[in-house]
Amino acid sequence: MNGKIRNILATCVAIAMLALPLAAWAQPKVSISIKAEKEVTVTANGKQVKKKVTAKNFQPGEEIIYTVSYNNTGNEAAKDVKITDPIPAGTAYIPGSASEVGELTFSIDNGKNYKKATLLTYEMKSADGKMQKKAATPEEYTDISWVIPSIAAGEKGSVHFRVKVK
Amino acid sequence: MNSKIRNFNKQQNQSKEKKMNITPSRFPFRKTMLTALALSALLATGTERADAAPLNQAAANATILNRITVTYKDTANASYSQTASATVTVLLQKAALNVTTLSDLTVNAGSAALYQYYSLTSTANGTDNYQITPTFSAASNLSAQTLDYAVYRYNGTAMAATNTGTQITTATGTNTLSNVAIGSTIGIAWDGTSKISVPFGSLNGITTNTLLMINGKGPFVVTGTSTGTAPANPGAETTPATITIAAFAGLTGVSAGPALTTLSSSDIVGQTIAERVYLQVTVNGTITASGTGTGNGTIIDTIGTKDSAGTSPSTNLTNTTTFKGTQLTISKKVANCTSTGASCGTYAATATALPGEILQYQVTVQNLGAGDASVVSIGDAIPNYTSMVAVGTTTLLAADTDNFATINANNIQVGGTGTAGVGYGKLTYGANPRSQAGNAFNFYLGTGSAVGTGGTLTGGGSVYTIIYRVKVN
Repeated sequence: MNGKIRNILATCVAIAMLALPLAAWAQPKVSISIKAEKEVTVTANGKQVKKKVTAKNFQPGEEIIYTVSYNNTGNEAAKDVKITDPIPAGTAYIPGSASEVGELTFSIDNGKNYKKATLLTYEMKSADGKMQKKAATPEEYTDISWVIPSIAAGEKGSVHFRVKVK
Repeated sequence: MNSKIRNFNKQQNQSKEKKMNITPSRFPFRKTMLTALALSALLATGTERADAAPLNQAAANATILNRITVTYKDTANASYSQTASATVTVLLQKAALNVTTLSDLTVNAGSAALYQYYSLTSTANGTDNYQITPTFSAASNLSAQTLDYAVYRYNGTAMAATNTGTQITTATGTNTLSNVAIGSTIGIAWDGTSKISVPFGSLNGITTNTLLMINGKGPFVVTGTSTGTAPANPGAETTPATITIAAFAGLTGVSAGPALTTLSSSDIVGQTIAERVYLQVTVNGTITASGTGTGNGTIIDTIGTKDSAGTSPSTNLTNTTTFKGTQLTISKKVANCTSTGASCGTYAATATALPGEILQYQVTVQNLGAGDASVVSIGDAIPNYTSMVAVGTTTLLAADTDNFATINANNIQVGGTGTAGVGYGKLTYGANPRSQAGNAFNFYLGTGSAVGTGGTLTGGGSVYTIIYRVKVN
């Protein structure tokens, strides 16, 4: 065998090795992450501004803002993307706080069945005489689910919801 | 989330729903609105409950785990899934102690100590360090006051002092006992017999022998705990810690608790499982002066408490400790019974008499104080220029068996006799004739008395009447 043929062979092997991972990339790859935040009031330029900060510790009665980020790092669109999240024990879902992204549904039976939320909104007069918007919804929710029909390759997004620490 | 935890979650919701039954009456318009909209019964429970929910339904140090799952498909319909999780920890929600008076024991006169007992119960969702500050305020008719105090916990057989404060020795003194740790957690499940589940990591100072108040019921005694299981890796579920309890049999000064059957899930799930400790306050003092008013000595003390954030109960308990005083009175009156001795005139402070006439004396002893007077005795003597005659007669005393006086109508002989529980007496005549002026005689009154030994006159006005008569020489 002369040197030329060896080179060709080596090139072929190299191409074959490159081709393998290329074939593996031909699929969607959705990664998700979740973070817990709380809303704090900070004073900036003499004005009180509400700001979200990542937090590890919560007092009973405080709201946890959960943000779920998704990112399709694959090279193909992901179909029928379903993000499911049980409402954590020791917390209560705050009515109306979940992002209206894709098809938002809730379960009251630990994720066996998901249904659209029955959300009642109304206004009531508060102590200062102003009309206040109120949302009422069954608190028995055990799980939340978002179904997004398609996430294109390279597409990012996030959904969030709030719970109150009991 | 595993199914066990989910069940807890469900129970929590159920218990909450129970509580919210009061909502329609508080917000009647809302109910009307819901009815008008013909919404389901399920929805009828839906109000802004998150706002109305009571605090402290999550135990301090509990981990709230949120695990999220994404599932998706590629163009070839192959399924993929991925999970991510976030954990947060519940913080201590500090709250003022619940302080109640258990009993206020009193003892009798003198300088014996008086005890006050208080229960201190956590209302927080976890262990906190508390301050206890007893304060003496005004004292009356009392000297040498001291106040000692200590926190007692059950050790399995008795109440044992675990934190002891510094003695207060002035009438207006204050001391503070710091860092009294009192535990608390929040229940998540009840096994129906004796076991409470609490979140992993949230035993919060509760150990074997801790006395617990559960949703205001108790005390119950902890017979064992388990810590549960830590997460296998970050983001994994935990198994809850458990607390096994039994009925508390009670001790001197501490009442027994209720039976375990008085507890149900609604007392446990989402409710405070709070340690209760006991505060014993010992007050000492000496009554300054007897014989004024009731003779009582009093001192006022206040039990102040603070949580580590400085929050006190809305009112601190104030107690008046009363040392029961004695107020003994004695009066001596005399009446003229003429020379026949057959009928006597009215008793008065003074009387006139001719030689040969009979005078009858009435000595009255009374304890008007609230406390008991002990070792009560009376010394008297046959008046000058008179000779003592036997009770009810005009005959001079001649034998040791003659009755020379009566106590509450019970005869007393010269040689010494009496009646148990009432009194005894004796005439001492030495070499003199028994009836001679100047001879001394003694009476010993009350419960436990005997010839030569005074007894006890209980507080509240017990009356002893002694009668004897003499003939004017």
